[in-house]
Amino acid sequence: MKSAYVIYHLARADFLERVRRYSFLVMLGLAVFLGYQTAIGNMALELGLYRGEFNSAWVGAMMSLIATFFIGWFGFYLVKGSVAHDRETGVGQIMATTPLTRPLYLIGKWLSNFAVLMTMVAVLALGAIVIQFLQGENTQINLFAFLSPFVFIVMPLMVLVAAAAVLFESVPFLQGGFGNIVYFFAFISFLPLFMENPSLKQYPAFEPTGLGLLGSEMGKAVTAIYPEYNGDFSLGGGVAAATRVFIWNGVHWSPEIILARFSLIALSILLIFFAALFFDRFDPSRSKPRSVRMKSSASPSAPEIVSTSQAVSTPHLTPLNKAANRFSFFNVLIAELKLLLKGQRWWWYVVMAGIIIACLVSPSAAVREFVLPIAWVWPILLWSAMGNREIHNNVQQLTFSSAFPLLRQLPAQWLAGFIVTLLVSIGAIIRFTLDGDTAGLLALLSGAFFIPSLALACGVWSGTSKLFEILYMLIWYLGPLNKLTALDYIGSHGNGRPEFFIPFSIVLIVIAFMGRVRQIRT
Amino acid sequence: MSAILQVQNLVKNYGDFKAVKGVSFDIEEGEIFSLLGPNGAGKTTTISMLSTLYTPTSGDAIIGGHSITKDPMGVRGIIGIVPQDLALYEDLTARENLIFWGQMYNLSGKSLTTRVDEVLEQIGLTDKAKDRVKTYSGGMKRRVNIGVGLLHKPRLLFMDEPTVGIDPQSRRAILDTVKDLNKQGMTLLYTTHYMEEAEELSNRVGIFDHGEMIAIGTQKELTQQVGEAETLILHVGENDDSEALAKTLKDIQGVQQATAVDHEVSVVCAEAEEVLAAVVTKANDRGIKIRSIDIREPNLEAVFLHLTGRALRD
Ligand SMILES: Nc1ncnc2c1ncn2[C@@H]1O[C@H](COP(=O)(O)OP(=O)(O)O)[C@@H](O)[C@H]1O
Ligand SMILES: [Mg+2]
Repeated sequence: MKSAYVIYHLARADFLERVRRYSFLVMLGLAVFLGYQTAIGNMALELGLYRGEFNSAWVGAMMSLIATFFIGWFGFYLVKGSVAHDRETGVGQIMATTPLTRPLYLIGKWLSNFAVLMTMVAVLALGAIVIQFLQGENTQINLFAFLSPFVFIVMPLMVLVAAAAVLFESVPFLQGGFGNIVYFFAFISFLPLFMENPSLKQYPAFEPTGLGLLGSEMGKAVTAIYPEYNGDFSLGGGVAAATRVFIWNGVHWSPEIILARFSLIALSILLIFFAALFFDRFDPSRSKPRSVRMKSSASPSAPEIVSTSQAVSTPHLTPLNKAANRFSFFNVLIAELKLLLKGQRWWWYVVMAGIIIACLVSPSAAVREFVLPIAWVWPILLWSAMGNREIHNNVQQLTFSSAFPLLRQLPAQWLAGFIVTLLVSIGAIIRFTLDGDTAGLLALLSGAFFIPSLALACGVWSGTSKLFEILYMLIWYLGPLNKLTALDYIGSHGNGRPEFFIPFSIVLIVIAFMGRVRQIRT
Repeated sequence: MSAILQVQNLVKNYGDFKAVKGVSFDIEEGEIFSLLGPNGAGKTTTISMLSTLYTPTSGDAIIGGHSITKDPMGVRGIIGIVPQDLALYEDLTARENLIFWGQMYNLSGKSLTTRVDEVLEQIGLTDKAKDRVKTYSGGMKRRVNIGVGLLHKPRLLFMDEPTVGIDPQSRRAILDTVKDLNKQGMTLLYTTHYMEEAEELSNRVGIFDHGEMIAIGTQKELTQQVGEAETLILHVGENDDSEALAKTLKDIQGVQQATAVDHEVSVVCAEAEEVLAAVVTKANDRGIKIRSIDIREPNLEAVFLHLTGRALRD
């Protein structure tokens, strides 16, 4: 059992290292926040007009759903990056010179991911017990009813998410921002896939988040008492519409259901071995796609413009008069624009051009609702690189030590982002102007203001592109796509919210500035 | 003595760029072998292939009877590596880092803890073992990294420029550790661009430049290549144009090579006394004041200069 010993300690060291990082506290804080929101009733499980009595089974199931949904969806982003961390620290490179095999290494990372996810789940589970007592409807603890959804629903999903993170890190084209976006949509497409596909609907236990299984089990309990129940099932902002209470004592865990849930674990094992096929063992020449990319964009030796202060280093040496200042600001801006716009494949530009033309030729209403949202999600990887590129390219020292980086570079970065956003919306701008749609134009401007501001603030504070990618996808998905007006920064439905997004953007810009000041000081 | 490492025509290309161009050499069991070469010569690339991190483009190497291309697992059991760039979990303590690596090498229980204590002693960090690595100085981190490489008592240890960028005290400690390890029977492949280190440590030296091994042998064998040549080291002022001076000095009869690095001009010549006067005159002509002059016996720096026409440390 030598392998088991090595795997265990590999996972343990990785877990310990992550737990001690500041970001782990932030993660735990988020879990506590979620638990708190549920406790005060801002988040609740409702079946139309009905809800369960707050007994162990009900709070356990409700919290399990919150765990699968939030930690399953966003926890992925928190655990993804452990292989990349080993690559950056160089620990992975040494690991590659030890007798550790590829699958063993990945299994270690998988376990460590799983441990991190389950730590957050545990925080939520504790919160659930607190809720049961706070509500006081039934204070008897039924340990099995309480824990079983965590064990049979949450745990297998976390195993799967942990494995998916390892897989995404091993497959070259899923390693970066593209993979982040793929996961985002893959996760939310599972639900409708299982809920609406008639043949899959018969096997709710296979639905990863457990929403399918709990929905059908709880539905049975409601129908037994209230035959008129219409099948509504929602987890979300507590509208407190549910007034009628029923008693639910938990899922009847049949061997079939348990087997179905544990099939997710089997699937995870497959994913890990699949990942091992792709994993390059820290040797870039071993995986073709990577080495191609290395040559084209990420080669450490190729002298490319990685920061604007390199591009305009000379003017910094002499005291600047006003004219020179304006001149060099312009230079910085051009350099930033080039940085933002280059590095995509040819087909990226072709698609972008197609979207712009589609904006131009579609009717105003359709542009607002469909085409502009597409135009504003296609360049997401451009925006997400803002504000953290300096860190990624390890030229932090250089960029940050040059004169006036704060006064010059950040506004130039923002402005470049703003210009790019306007550029990709140029079709829509012309369309709205031709149609005299001033409300649409105003909403568009506020959105174009908002995007680079959010990107910069996220990039500067998190040092990665991930935070913006997730936040932006979420806002985009909820606002323009799902008609949540509060987040509709495009004006897809209604006229957008320029009165909110413009001041909010200014706040974000200030936050980005503060982040940069902090970086320079330390 | 038998060879623990036999390198056979090793090649590594990064895309179109040829980083290592067909290198062959042997290392005997029990020796310290230095790869001496300037930055970018291909030392790290070579070590990365020998330690089975990178797959060679072509060629092979046999380490303790195992081929790095056909039996990398066999190789991994014998070797240890101290990489050029620090590779540690910064949020773990030195002790935890060492324990972790010990576990990766299948050490456990009492043998693990005693070995970790031994290594901590050896790298002089017993007192600080419980502090997180991120609170360490560069030199201390480097020593932890060396500890990691030693932990499983490899037969062959690769050390890639372990003294770059650290304080003189740590540097001294590291060089002493290297000699100690060798005395205990470990074979070492040590890369550096410091001639002094190669001279102090190694039994044999391979001089590496532009991806090729341009000379190999004991220090004595190598210096004999430059014949009886001596090197004059002129220290000039900070504002003096040492490059231009080096150029004019080349014209002096008896001077074989002259190069400038920072405020030092190295002049290779057959007999120092013969050219000294002319050198000083030339410097005076250019208005350059020589602060001091050293005369050095033939050394590896001179060998490199002789073979490449360049100084080791550009
Ligand atoms: N991953 C890589 N991709 C492309 N070129 C590289 C890579 N690693 C090193 N090189 C290049 O190969 C040459 C040799 O590098 P290296 O082996 O690190 O030299 P040394 O260790 O002697 O300083 C250098 O010119 C370097 O720029
Ligand atoms: Mg090197």
